[in-house]
Formats: sequence, structure tokens, C-alpha cells
Amino acid sequence: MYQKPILLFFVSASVITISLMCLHPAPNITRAFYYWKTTTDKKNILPFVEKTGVSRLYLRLFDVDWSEGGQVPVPRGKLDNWNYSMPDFQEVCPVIFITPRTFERIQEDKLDALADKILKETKEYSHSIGRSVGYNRFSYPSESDYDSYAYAAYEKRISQFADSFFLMMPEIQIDCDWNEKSKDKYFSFLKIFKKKIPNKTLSVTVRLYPYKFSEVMGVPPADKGMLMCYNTGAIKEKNTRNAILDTNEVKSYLSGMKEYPLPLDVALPLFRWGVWFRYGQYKGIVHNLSEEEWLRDTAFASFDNNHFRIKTDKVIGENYYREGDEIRYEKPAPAEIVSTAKIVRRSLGLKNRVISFYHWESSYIREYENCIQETYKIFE
Amino acid sequence: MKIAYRKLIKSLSSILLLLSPFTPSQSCGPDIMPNEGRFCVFRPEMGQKAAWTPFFYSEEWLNSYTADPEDTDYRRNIREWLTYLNTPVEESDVYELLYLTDPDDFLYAHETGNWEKLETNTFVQFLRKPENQAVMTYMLNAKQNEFIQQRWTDEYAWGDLAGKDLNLVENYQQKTEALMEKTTDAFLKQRYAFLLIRASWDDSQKYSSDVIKAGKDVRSIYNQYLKGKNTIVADWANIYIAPFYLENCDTLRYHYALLNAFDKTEEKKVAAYTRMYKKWLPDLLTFVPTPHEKAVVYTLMSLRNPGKALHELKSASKLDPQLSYLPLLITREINKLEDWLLSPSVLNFDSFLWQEQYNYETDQYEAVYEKNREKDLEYLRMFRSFLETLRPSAALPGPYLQNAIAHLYILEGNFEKAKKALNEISPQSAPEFLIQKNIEKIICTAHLADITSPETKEILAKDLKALEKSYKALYPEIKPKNEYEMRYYQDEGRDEWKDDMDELYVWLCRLYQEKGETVTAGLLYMKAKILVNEYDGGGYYSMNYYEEDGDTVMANLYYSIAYPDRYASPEQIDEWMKLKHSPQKTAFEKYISPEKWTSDEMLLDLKGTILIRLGRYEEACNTFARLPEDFWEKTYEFKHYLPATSIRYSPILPYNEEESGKKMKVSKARIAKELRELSEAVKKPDNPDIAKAWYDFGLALYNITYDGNAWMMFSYGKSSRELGDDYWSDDCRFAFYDFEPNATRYREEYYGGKKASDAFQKAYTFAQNNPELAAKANVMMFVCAMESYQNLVAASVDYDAPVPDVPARTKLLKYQLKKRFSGTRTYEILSSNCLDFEE
Repeated sequence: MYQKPILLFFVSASVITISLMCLHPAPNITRAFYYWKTTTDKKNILPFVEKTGVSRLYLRLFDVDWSEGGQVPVPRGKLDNWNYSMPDFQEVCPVIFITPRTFERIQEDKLDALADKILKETKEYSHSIGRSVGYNRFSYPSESDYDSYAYAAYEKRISQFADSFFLMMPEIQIDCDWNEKSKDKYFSFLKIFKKKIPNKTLSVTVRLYPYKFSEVMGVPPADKGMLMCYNTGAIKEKNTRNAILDTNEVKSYLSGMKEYPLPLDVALPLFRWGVWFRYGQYKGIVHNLSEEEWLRDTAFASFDNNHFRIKTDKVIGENYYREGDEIRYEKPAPAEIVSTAKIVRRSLGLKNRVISFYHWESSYIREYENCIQETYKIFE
Repeated sequence: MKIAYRKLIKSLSSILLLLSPFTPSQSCGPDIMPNEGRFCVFRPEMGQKAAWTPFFYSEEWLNSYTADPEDTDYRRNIREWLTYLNTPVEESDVYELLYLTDPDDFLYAHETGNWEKLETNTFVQFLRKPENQAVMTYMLNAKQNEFIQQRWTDEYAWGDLAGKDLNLVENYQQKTEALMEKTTDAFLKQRYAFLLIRASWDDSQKYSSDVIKAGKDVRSIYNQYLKGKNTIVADWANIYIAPFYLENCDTLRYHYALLNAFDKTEEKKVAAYTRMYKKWLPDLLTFVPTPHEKAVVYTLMSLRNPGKALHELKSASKLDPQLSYLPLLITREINKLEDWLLSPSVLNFDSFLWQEQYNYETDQYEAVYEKNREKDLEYLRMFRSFLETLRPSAALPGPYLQNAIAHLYILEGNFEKAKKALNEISPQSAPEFLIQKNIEKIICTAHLADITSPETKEILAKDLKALEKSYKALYPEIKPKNEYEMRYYQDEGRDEWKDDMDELYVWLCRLYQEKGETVTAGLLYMKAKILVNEYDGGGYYSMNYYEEDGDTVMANLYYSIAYPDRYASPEQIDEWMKLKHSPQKTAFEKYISPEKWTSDEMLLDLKGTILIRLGRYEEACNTFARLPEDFWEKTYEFKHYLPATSIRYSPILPYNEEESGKKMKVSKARIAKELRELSEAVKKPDNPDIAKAWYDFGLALYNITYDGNAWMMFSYGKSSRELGDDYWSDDCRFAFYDFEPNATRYREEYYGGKKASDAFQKAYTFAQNNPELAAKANVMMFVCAMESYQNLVAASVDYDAPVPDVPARTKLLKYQLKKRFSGTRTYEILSSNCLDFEE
């Protein structure tokens, strides 16, 4: 007797749902990764790029730091020339990390020159990277064509492609963990830099703290921001469980927030490290921990949950570990990345945005492959 | 702990955070490289070449040093040139042309014939003679080579990527090879060969295989023209031919070439060292032919060993007793022992003692700390026994060895034997050895005599002054000859001198603090200006950084009272001020007096604040009364963290009219007066409203706790490093404050609201006939209990551990409020405004 109304209800609900879906098409998500090393990855990463549909690479080109000796900003930690054929990411976006002290120390009237230098350096790199991408994108002439016109034409094509590569870059990103002392000059710099790249998107990284406290920290004058959803914990605290990613911490930063004044992309962590303590005091970060087979040596260290406890004095690599030292092994759990992604999606909403992982390391990518796929899908 | 901190500031880049095997964090707290936390008074420079500085245990930033500050290699090269030229050319002119003349300037002068800038240079005059055309051709080629190298290596040169300039390199190589083959001059032939080899190498790309493949395999050129030749260019060339071996997977020859570059040159030492792979060094032992070279391999293995390297040292010494690196290796071991045994107690880094001092959970560390210390002392004894078997030699001068042995006795706590060893050092020894002897002597005096006696203080003052004098003799003020010297060379020794003195001061500071002489200890500490694991204000930056710039930030003002805040009593602050204004200071007092004393105002504020902590309100009032009325409005951060209203204010209950009151000046004097009046009111036996008096006193006491609105009556900062972990609070923004050891001293009172809670308990007891007031007292007891629970219990458990339940008494207070006072206005307001409370 009352089946009809129920049927009607479901039909109506379906129509409304479908209509709403039509009104709000699935957001357009760009799958991305950061490449943050100074050396090029020699491993064959092409299969993964193809499999996951990663189409954008945020490529750190160099850092800019302040030289007290020279009283000038200087480039440091430059990326090696990409000597190996680069996978054909559809888009490559240069990233330049600038230390906050650069802006604390530089004079206001030198900001324009700094912007020029960064742009010049970026263009130089673009050319070099363009060549690498070009060699991958365009088929090499057959052996019989070697030394022939076809080969010369091929080289010319690569050169032209490299020349135009900078123009094809959709976005340039500035990474700076600004503070109250560096804020004003950093923001002035961004305005100046943007004027020099009117046809490109200027993005900036936004850490969780300035996101939460934008009234104090200000909002950078850029086209958009990359919200870095990691480094959430107090790394030096012995009691911290995982300083890289804690979903609850991310949640507490995001909850109750009004919309951030900039459109936001999202970066999630894909790295690991060990945090070294001696007598309960923080001593430093140990990298490449997963490759340290010694940590499996039970005569040397015991392992409990995510803590190594050193049993005997020993030099490993450049470090001298003492009996009693502890290493907190931190990496984001795949489930935590996924749950964080869900929270971020809920907080920021479904919109067109770039979802990026930090950072490209072949071994991590293999281990987290399913998680990466799942995470991208959450935003789609 | 040497001057590398400044160098680190210059050199740190974020990428290293991710790529190096070990890096410090840039998060809150003292941000230091490992070497910055290493205490070191055994001077690593003693008996060493300046070029070896990067290999000291206390120096970890290998690439922040000038490669060859004494120009050892350059001078050898100049000597070779002078021998070859065999004409009256000035040595300084050869130096100027080779190392101070920009390639562009030289090439331009030659092209245009305008030699104005180099007119008087005798080497240039030689080159310009037609009969010396061959040498001029070489020099032009060499300058062109420099130009190519500089374009790639100068990090200040933006936008010059080498990748697209390979044609330039190839053209240069072809030209140089042709010149090399053409010339019949053996000297120039060797030099062309060197230039050709160097041009095949690209510093910015390191051992980029593309460049190597594009270039010529220069090993044959090396073998033909340079191998076995006694010339600096043959030795330098080793570093450039090494990558060709690596490219062919010949790791032994790769390392052997680098070993030669390391051993036979100074300029290429660090470059060679950083290119070696630690894991392949042992293989090299069986490959290198001579005992000396094997000893150098052990040297390299020792340098790469941050742990106990006595085995490598013994092996090197046995293979080559005259090995010049022996003092370097010995000093490294001594500095390691200093670090392991003294850094924890003197600098508080890596410190179990630090944990113990602050009552952290130390059980798990105490046993292992003692065990590690015993192991280190055992190693020290083994090491000292080995040194005592060594005979003085040219490589190991007697005064060096005696200083080393004396220092080890000091580390062992055997000061008499240390003195005996020091007596073996002749007063005629070189100044660098006498300086160390004087340092050791001061340490012995400080440990053997009563340092609090005027006589010992006089001796110390005299010895410290003498030490400074001997430093001045060793590091005379040099007027730099050129920009190169000014930038790198001149201040190095003087910086080390200051650093040595600073470390000595901080050691003496700890000894005086042990004896309870806080004023002396504090002044020595402030004289030291050294980075220790204690909060001195200034947040991320060192206090020196801003002082030098004359830019005062508020957190730095705290630096002027940081030490007495941690350790001084009110009476000791009076002593501090008395000494400051004393017209007749002793020699020792004059010595420890700072150039700029802490202001009387800040000292008085600190004294008053300590009196408030101690509950001595009358004295606090008298102290604050000596300060200008507007002091707290104008100074430090007081106006932001002290209320402009009465402190009889409840954080949870609405204001009473009388309590909200009118706005007043921010003033500790006013708040102290209020505290005094309230404390006196509760003492009056005939007080008709004793319950209200206790309640108001409780509110005032609550507000000077960590969670109160007048917390700056009690401390000078707030941050996430404190017990309460008030991370979200704006309060922590101006400084990464650390309240230890006061946090431990006043733990219950400041973070747990104990005194306030006791006052509310009294109010509650006396208010049995006033249910409204009893309810308020009950509420505030609950607030204090929750504060104690949150700050002292919940915030300090391990992250993974379950958060302990709220204590039963706290729950009872809440239950009691509902049960007994649900009919009161207080309860009604509370339950409607504070939803959590109703749950």
C-alpha cells in the first residue's frame, strides 16, 4: 500500500542526485609529485609515471640563501643537469626554495635584482630540462639516418623544443617558510616576481601554521598556494609519535577554518627519516634509514614498534651511535595518508586542484603505490 | 665548539636536510650542527696546518673553509716558476699575476695592449718581452683555463650552466693539446698537460659522465708528462684524473689518485677527502705500495671515524712514526673525549645530567649514562697509555705531547699528574704550546685550589690576562693585504682565540656555580657568550647576531637576565648590583665585569619577580617601587602579557563589577601591591569576610600561574617547550621560551595552581554559610585541578600511551558542585555558559 510513495521518493532522490551531479561535475585533479633531490634519478621511472597518471612534476631547481660573506643572496644546492632522459611529464613546474633569512637580510631595493636573477637561472634550467624532455618526447632517427639530414633536423627540433620549454611551463612555485621578520620583504618580492611572469601562475607553498594563523602570518600575494599537509609534530620532542604526519594534528589545523584567501593545492608526505635521541635529548635526523640494514641487526639494536634502541657503541656511516641511543623511525602510514587526504578533502572541498606528493624517491613510490593511487582518487 | 656556527649560518641549505645522512632540524630550540654542541678546550689548531682545520673534530662543515689559507701550494708553485724563470722577477708579482689577477683583466690587457693595471708587475714585464712569447702564450692559455673553470665553480655566478658550453671546452682542449705538442720547453709542456687535464674536469658537474665522455681521457697525458714528476701540477692533477678511473670502475686507482691529491697538496685536500668512499678505504691498504701511503690510508679512515679511532691512530703511527698527520689524529681523539665527558655537564648537550637536573624520567638513562662514561674513561686511559709510549719527534713535538697527556689527566680528574706533565713543557717552547699550557694551568688551579678565595681569584685573573696576552702575541692584528686575505684569512685565528676563551669561561662558570657563587658564575657565563643548551632569549638567532647589528629584539633583553633568572636568589641579585656599582673592584672582579652591564631596571624587575615566586610580596612591592611607573608599559613584552585590570579575576565566572574595574596602567608594582594586600587580608584574625578574602587571594594566585592572565608576574615567556604545551597560544610567538630550571622548582605552583587551589580550599571551608561563595571556590578548585591535570599529567605522557584518567578528586569536585550547589546562581551561570561543565 505504501510502496508507491517509497518508490516515488527513491526516484525523486535519484533524479535530484543525478541533477546535482550534472551541476557539479567531478573536479579536475592534476596528479603531481615533487622532485627535491640535487641529483637526477637514474632509475627507470617511466612505468610508474604512466601507471599512476602523474602528469606534473614540481622540480626544485635550486635554493636561494643569504651569504653573510658576500652580503648577497646566492643560489645553493643546484639541481644537477638532468643528464638522463626525463620521463615525459606533461608539465614541469620549477620550484625555488628561498630561506627566510634571505628576506630578513636583503635590502628592499635589491628585491627586483633578486627576482631577475631567479628568473634568469630558471630560464637557463628550463632550457636544459627541455632538452632532456625533448629527447624523450621525440623519436630518435633510425641508425641509418645518423649523420644525415634527419639527424640534424632531429637536433634542431630538440633545440627548438628546449628554447620554448620555459614558455610551456604553466607555473613557477616559490617555497619559503616565511616568518614575521621576513614577511614584508617576501611579499614584496612575490609582487615584483609576478610582474615578471604575467602569463604564468605564481604559486607559493603554505605550511599549516601560516594557513591556520593567516591573520598573523599574512597571505602571500600569489596566484595560488600549495598547502603542505605534513611536518605536523614537534620533531625534537621525545614523546612525539610521528612528526611527519599525524592526521589529528592536520585536522586540528584545518578545523573551523574559513576559506583561505588563496586557491589551494595540496601536498602530502612521502618520505621517511629517523629521529635520533641520546639520553632522551634530540640529536638529529638520520636519513636513508630504510637502507640501513644494520637496523635489522638484533645484536646492535632492538626494534620495538617504531623505535630502535641501540645496544652497543658503533660507528655507522658518519654517525657514532652510543649504547642507549634511540631512533624513532618515522614514515607516514599509508592509511594515515589516506585518512589525512579525506580530512583535507572535507575541509577544503572538492575543487579543481593539484594533488602532489613530496617527494619523488623510487623506492618509496614502489612501496606506496596503492596508497598513492587511492589518495589521488579521493580528490577526484 | 668552534666558529663553525657562523659558517653554518652562511652555508646551510634546505636540500641538505633531505639528502645528507645526518642533519639537524631547523625546528624550535638551539639549532646546531653536531660540532656546535662539542665542548673543546684542547686547541685543535695546536701543531697543525691551517689547511687541516676542516678535519678537526669540532669542525664539521668541510666546505666552508678556505682550501689552503697559508698558500702552501701556491707558494710551491711560485717557487717552481721562479726557478724556471731564473730572472729577477719578484715573488709577489708572480703571486699577483697567478692568483690575484682576474683572467678577464689579463686577457683584456693583452688584447688592447693596455697594461696600465699591471705596468709595474715584474712578471708581466718579463712576459711582454718578445723573446718570452712562449711563456706569454702559455699564460694567456692558463688564464683562459681559469676563466672556464671559474664560470662553473663560482657559486655567486648566477645563470651560468655548463651544460651548453661543452663546445667551448672542446675547442680549448684542442688548442691546448696543440700548444703542448708544439712546445719543446719541458716546463711549459708539463704545465700545458696540467691545463689540458684540468679542462677535462668540470667542478660544477663533479664527475658527470657526459663531460668525461665528451672530454679526452687524460690519463695517458698524465702518465706521459706528469707521473712521478716533482711538481705541484703533477700532484694537483691527481684530483682531475681520478674520475676517469671511477668511470672505468677502477675504484682502487680512483682512490689512490685522490689519496695522492690529499697527501701531496693542501689546496685539494678537502676536495679529495670528500670524493672518497669510506667503504673502499680498507681495500686501499693492500693496494698502496709504501708504509707512508698505508699510514695515510689509516689517517683517512681515522678522519672518517666519529667514534673511537685508537686502532687507526696506532696503525698509522706504527707504519710511519714521522707521519705529519699524527697530531691531527691525536687531537681528534682528545676532542672526542672532551665531547663525550664534558659536553653534557658544561654545555648541557647530549646530557643525562640535564635530564636529571630537571627531574625528567631519568631511570632509563642513568645506568646507561654511567656505563658509557665508564667506557669512555677506560678508553681515555688506554689512549693516554699509548701517548706515553710515543717519543717526541719533528712530527710530534714534546710540548705537544705533554699538553696532550696533561689534558687527558685533567679529563680523568687527576690534576696533580696533569700539573706534573705540564711542568715538562719548557717556557721557551713555541707560543702555541705555551697557550695550551696556560689553559691547562688555569683549569688545574680552578680544580685544585679554593676558587672562592680572594687569593685564587687573583691568581686566576692574572693567568687569564696572561693567556690573553699570549694569544695576542700568536695572533697579531694583521692589516690584510687584499680582499682575499680580509675575507678569509685574517680573522680566523682571532675568532678561535675568542672561542677558546669563551669555553674556558663557561667551564669556570660551572665550577663557580657548583660553589654557589652565582654572581661570579653568571658574569663568566655572560662573558662567554656561548651556545649552551639553555634558553637565553633570542629564539632562533644567537644573541650575538643581533647585538652586532645593534638591532634589539625583545627576546634579547631577556638575555641580560637569563642566567640570574635561572640560578640567582633575590639576595644574589643585590650582590650583582653591588658589584656593578662598586668603585673598587678587585682585579678578578674587573676581569669578569662585562663591557655592558645589565640595566638596574631589569635586575630589579627580576628580583621582584623572584620575590613574587617566593611569595615575599612585601619585599616585591618595595623592589618594584624602585622602578619607574611606566617601566612595564615601555619595556620588554610586559604590556602584552600583564593585565591592565585587577587580578581578582576568574577565567570561568563572570566579572564582578568591582573586579572588572577600570583600566589601569600595566604595572608589576600595582599587581604586587594587590597581592600583598590580599595576602595580608587573609592573615587578619578578625577579618569578618575571611572566606571572600581567601577567595580573592586565590584568584590573584591563580592569575600569576601559567594559565592565568598575569603569568608574566612569574616568568618571562611562554612556549610549546613548556610543560603546558600551549602551542596554539599567541603567547609563545615572541620567543621560544624555556623556563627550566624554574619550571621544576615551581612546577606544582606555576603549572599546577597549587597555591591558588589551597587558597580556594580555605575560602571553601570558611564559606559554609555562603553557598554562593562556596560554589565559586568549588569551581576554582576544579579549574586548578584541571590545570594541574592538563599541564602536568596529560601533557607529559608518551604520545602512544593512553592519557591518564582525570584524578578522582577532580571528578569529585565537579560532582560536588552539581550535588551541593546546583541551586546557586554560580552553578546556573556556569552550566549555561560552559557546556563542557554540564556533561
